Amino acid sequence: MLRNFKVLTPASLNEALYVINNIEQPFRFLAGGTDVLVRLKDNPAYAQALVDISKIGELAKIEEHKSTFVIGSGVRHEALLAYGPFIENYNGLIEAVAAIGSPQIRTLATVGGNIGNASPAGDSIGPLMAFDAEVELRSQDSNRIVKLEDFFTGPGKTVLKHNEIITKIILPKSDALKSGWKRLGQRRAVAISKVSVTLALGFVKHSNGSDRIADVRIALGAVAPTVIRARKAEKFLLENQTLTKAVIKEACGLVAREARPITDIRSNTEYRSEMCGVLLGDLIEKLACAR
Amino acid sequence: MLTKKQSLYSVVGKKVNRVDAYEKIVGGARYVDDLAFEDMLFAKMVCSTIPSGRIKKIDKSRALKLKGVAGVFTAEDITGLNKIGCVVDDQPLLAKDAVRFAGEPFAVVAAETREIAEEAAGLVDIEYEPLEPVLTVDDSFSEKIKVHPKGNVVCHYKVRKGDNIDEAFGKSFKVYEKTFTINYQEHLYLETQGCVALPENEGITVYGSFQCPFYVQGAVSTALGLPLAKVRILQCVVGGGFGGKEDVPSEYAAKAALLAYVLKKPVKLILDRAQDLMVSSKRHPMKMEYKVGVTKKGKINALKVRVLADSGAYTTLSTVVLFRSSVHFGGPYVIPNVSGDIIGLYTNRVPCGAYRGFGTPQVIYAMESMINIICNDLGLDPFEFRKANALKKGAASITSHKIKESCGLIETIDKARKESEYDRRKKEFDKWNADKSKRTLKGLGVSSIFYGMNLGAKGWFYDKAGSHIQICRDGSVTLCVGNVEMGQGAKTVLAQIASEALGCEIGAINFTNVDTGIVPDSGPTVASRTTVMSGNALLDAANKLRKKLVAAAAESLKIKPNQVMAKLGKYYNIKDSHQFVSFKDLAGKCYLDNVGLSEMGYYVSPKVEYDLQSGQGEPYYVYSYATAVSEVEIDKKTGELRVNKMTCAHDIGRVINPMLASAQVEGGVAQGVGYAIMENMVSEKGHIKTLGLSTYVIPTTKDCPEVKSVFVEDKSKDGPYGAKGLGEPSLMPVVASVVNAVSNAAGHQFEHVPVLPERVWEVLSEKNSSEDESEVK
Repeated sequence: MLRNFKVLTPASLNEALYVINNIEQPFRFLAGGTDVLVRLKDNPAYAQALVDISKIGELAKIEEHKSTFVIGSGVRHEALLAYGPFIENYNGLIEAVAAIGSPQIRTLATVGGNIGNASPAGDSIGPLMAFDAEVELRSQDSNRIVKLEDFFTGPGKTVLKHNEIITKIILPKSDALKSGWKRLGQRRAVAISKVSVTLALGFVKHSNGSDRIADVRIALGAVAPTVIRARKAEKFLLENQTLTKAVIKEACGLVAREARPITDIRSNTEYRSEMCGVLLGDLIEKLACAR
Repeated sequence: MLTKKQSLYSVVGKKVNRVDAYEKIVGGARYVDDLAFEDMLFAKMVCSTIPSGRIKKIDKSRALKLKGVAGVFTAEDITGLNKIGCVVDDQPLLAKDAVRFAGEPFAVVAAETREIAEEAAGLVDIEYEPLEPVLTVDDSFSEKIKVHPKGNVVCHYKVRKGDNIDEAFGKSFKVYEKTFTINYQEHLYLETQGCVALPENEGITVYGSFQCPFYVQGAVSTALGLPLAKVRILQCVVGGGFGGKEDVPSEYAAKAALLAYVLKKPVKLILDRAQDLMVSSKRHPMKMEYKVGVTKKGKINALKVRVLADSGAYTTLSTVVLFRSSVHFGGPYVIPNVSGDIIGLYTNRVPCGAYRGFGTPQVIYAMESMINIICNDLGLDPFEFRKANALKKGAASITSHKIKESCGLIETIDKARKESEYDRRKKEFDKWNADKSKRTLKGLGVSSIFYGMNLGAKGWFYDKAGSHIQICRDGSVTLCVGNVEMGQGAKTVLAQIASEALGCEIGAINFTNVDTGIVPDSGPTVASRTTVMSGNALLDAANKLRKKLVAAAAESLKIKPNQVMAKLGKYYNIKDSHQFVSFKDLAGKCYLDNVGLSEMGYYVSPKVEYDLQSGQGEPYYVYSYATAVSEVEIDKKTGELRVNKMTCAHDIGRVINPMLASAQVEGGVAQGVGYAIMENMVSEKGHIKTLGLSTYVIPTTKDCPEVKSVFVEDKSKDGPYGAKGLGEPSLMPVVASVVNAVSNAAGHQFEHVPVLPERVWEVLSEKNSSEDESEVK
């Protein structure tokens, strides 16, 4: 019921922090609105107020610092896709974000919204997690940085407190990493991922001239209550250093076992687990060849 | 190449642009939800949350207390009869004593705003005594639990042809048996169901998104206890129907009309997507047991089929849908010995009804899969096998209908093979698939169909159509027919027919939407019948007008009437085309001469004779035919499927508009591809779980193949200019040909539709592991 429904539109971050510190009704943020408005329409009890942070300019910037990129939580997906340094060095992120929804959705939806929504299938989350991104959470009287990996506690659940806003996503520079992202959906566009895998690989030249793995990050989407890192497979690849057929096969088997998917209306447990391995294999092949 | 006769036509057979394109593109088209009236109330249905139960008590009090609520109606508030069944009287407008599926409406609320109506719907309390639901056709068939007191069999159609069927199989060279299952398909029209009812002139007027305004008129009349003449139905622009708006809109229109009539205010009832998905009818899921015998020479000599169709909680159109299944389950083939049992069964699930193809895509999938199995097993060419068994003039179908005219099946088979470059592609694909290093497997699949035109023996008494044409004194023309434009292009094709017959320019024609106050009952806009039925009804009216215009032109030109020709806005002397009088001037002359230029037209479908006991006779007066070839590619590691190309050859008699015909084929392919490999309605314990566009997934343009459509024009003597229907045939061969292609690529005949990547992966993994094992051995 929308009779007592409130929409508050703070003009600045400080105003927004004040608003959420003092608001009494259960509220939701309106950033891009591509999820919140749909849910509200389906279920009027979803929120009694919206705090519209979509017009706060300071949240909509991407900044380059010495060792990091700082992405404002209000940056729209299309803006992220147009940002030169990401196109050059963060292929996995670009691939993932380009697959979110449709052009209409990407024009409105924000990076902070995709994270705050905390869907295990959130497509931008895997690559950000693989790049060890952190989020800045601010309230009127506090400011904390949380690793993205520690931010999610379950489907739709995060450590964000009721008076906090996700303000920034801090993305470490990682020019040495090559990355890629792949997913399977129920169709080829405007699809919710039923499994997604991000892989980032760094290589060093060994004294014998061959390439050795120096760094490896794997993130899995839609196969656990949150997006997860596949630590066992990462460790295994790092220890083995070279990408022989046997090593790749073993790593693919490991990610399949690290996944903890469910059977739901989109897919089933066994398929999702196995596909983590298949997609990882595809990504290894792609990144190893691309060097 | 145009024949001499074809070239005589100036509008028919031409690529005329859609007459309704502009208003749709600029957003000017008014759909029902665009309508607003003063003091209009908004209605919301309150639906059962359990699949089966006795209603103990319905309590409206909490809802009625909410500010802004104008009324809460239950069965007891119905002023007429509490029945909505279109063919069989087994369904109440509002559930009274029992609910039989999750989603069955038992109350309807009207309030000042949509939001208040939503909230009030949640405040209508119901107490049930839940009963164990019947959720599968096998359980239903066992009759352990009865969905309705009379039992669970909705209908049972038998087809018996030839000798003792078991003896016939004994004479077969080889016999094949297989059971197939197929899931629901949801229409997913972009515009959900909706209507607005207005109390007017001591009666009621209903605007809405309908495929059959006359069904709605009947349903409203029954529910309100009003004579038909007091019920006027006005058709709005329709955002898609696909069968889903044939009988189903009556349910909503009757509810809105009841509220409007009693509360004396306009009432709008628009279903949201979730409720539409939950409540509205679907394509029947089926379990299909097939047994086919073939002779050494590759002829089908025996066919035995048993189909159990899930009709859901109420009959709706099941009896007519499954009649079609009983005519089409053997495909367009000559089979001397046939035994078929098509059984519709009640379950405590959503009612199933009309959907593009009307009970045939399911059985075509099963039959064409059997043919694929046979051809693969015996090493036979899929086109030659179909041709050897194909219906042709002089041959008889499984219902012993001897085909007399307009049968271009064999030409469609030849054209599909040629235009798809099947033989070249087959070689390429075999080579591709032999290369183990390739990530994908490629496959080709074929399917042929026939489809009975119009409503046929089971619905002949509905099979009529009216029209009204009025030529204004300035030469502009108003057309009104009883069938609707729902996106299929009817207005354009019918305007072409009228323009050709009247000799006016197509731009002179103004098409009004269906108004039951103007044209007589014209039956439903279904069964691919509109071009033929409304087209013929328009020809009837147009020919009467043309006679008057010819007489007037002859008088003006001082020639004999038989020397007058008409074309594109000019009536001219056949011997000297420079000597003419314009259509506009003729209209003006007739006006001043007091010659009435307003005529009704009427057409009745050719009568057919059919014996329902044996399932033998002429079920339909003529058939459309088609053959489709699909190219698919499957990912060996993920099981993902892609339909790359479809070539479809259709015999639809005269093609009135080649551009729209191709578009119709493309639309049918898209919907068929979704049905074949993507659309998966999931239900659990009688509750549909896929109640949104993100969970019930249909193809995007990226998922649709390249479509090549070609036409065979074996004219039908009863069609306007020789036309037959295409609306449904465009979808019908798609599922079977796609699944055959997938099956040929995977080396496994898929027995369930939709074929999802999960299942393909499972099959390929099993094959791989058994291949690995055999390598070890």
